[in-house]
Amino acid sequence: MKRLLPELATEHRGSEAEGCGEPFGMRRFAGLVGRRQALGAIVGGTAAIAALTAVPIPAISSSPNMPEWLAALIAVRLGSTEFVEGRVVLEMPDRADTGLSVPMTVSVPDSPMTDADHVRSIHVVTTRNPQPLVTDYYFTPASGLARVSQRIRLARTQQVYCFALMSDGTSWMTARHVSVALGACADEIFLPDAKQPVDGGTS
Amino acid sequence: MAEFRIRKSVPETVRKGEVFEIKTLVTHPMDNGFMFGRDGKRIPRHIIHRFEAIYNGKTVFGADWHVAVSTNPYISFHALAEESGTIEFRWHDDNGTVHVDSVYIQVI
Amino acid sequence: MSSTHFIGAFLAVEMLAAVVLTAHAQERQLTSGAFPLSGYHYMGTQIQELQDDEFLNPGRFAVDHGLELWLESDGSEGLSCHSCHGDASVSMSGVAARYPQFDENRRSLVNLEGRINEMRTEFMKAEPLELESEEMLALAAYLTFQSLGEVMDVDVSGEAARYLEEGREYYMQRRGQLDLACSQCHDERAGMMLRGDRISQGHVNGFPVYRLIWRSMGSRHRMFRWCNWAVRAEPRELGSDEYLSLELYLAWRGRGLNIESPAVRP
Repeated sequence: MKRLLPELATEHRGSEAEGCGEPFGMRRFAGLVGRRQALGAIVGGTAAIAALTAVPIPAISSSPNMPEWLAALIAVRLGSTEFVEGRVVLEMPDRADTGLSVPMTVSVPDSPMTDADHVRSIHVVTTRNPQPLVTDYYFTPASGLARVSQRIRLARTQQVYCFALMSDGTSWMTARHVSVALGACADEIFLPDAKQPVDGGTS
Repeated sequence: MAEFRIRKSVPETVRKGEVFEIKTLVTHPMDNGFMFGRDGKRIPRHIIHRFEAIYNGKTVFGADWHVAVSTNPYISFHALAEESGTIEFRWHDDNGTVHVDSVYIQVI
Repeated sequence: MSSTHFIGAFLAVEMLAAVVLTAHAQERQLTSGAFPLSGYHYMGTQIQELQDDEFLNPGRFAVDHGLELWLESDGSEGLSCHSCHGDASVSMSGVAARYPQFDENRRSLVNLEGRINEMRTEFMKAEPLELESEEMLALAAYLTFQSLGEVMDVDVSGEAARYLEEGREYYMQRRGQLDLACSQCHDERAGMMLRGDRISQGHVNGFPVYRLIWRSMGSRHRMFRWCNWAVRAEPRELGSDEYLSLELYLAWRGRGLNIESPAVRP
């Protein structure tokens, strides 16, 4: 625990000093994340102790610094680089029971969804899936409420990022860390075959 | 491939100006193209890559799906009740098919 | 320390202890093999939700498909299941909970799938459905669904007792490269972790089951084949005598559990 905190802090400072923590003008985002990550580490540590005594683990939401490639990908795909953390909400479990079907709900609860002020789109991207893109949702004022639920695959423990573009030109983001115990893809290597139903994967 | 089956849900009636939830679930393998079959060959990508909801001729919601969407894709989203009418759903399959289905929504 | 503080601290400790004890009790419940506990309780809530939610449960597609097949005429007699049995929610209620059973005429065990094919060939004069085909699974799921919530209760008296013993033997026998018996995991280690999964007691009350890794429905026999494969043992044929006996033993072993089909399992 004592070692972990300074390491995280150094990592964060280093990235900012070298400029790679801020490739697309995301200083505000990076600053927020640094503190969050430290907090997450503390809560995480407590959770680890709690886990030993089999107490249900409290919810942890942390968003470490965005990888550079992801920032570049988002800049190209969404045409925006100025993402501020907030407004968009990503609801996912901290620990997925199976990577094959992880419940996910994205929303911008405070958007009035009027012609003048509505959510244009929400985009979900993962950091360590074989293909990072998950879904892109497009809304209109007639959507009434920018809230979508789906079930997605997560190949392994990773960050899930969520970006929202508004009609007023602002861009918002959030991220969550989701632990996956069983790799989704590894378990689907052998596909079911109705004629010869010996198939498997691990456990 | 198995038949494309659709399950959909909207409220029976909804008041004008109210926001209501729409849910759909369809059967589809959503092959992500990263898996190998029993013959050792890679199973090509085969997913539904786009979903649309058209309410009285107007697209109210759309989604681009990528390979991370689970088998038998489920989606829940919302729409603003304006007038009674049909909501048409369109699932665009990688194989070029567009599966279409609709529900009637009564606005009071 | 003032007395209020003291009481406060005491309460906090007490509450924490209560939480820990409850968690331990749940843990004990899962690991104890003293009474049958459905595989449902060994899954996480996200998968439980998939099973519980009528809309989300992918197994319900098979049930819907099964109803279509129930009504569909097939074979040279022009009969459907419905022609003789009528409304399945009446005629088939509780039936699946009593399978497999010993058949006096055939002098052997017969399970639900076996009975479906017997009916098809003898009365409808139709082709038997291929085991594990989508149609067979759909029909079996539809029939089992008519017993949803019913208590699993198979008859093991008389001739069936012999098959029960055979099934028990198969269950207790170590096999495969991993040299594991079913009982070593599902009796002795139920509730413990196997990689990311919690080992269940291995009950069959959820079958035909929708398995996420299969991305389809599967019968009890398919699961037995899968288990055999998992310990690197030679799988038996679907509908084989060994599997029928094993199915009877497992149904008896889980007696008292409610039928959950279509269950969802990871």
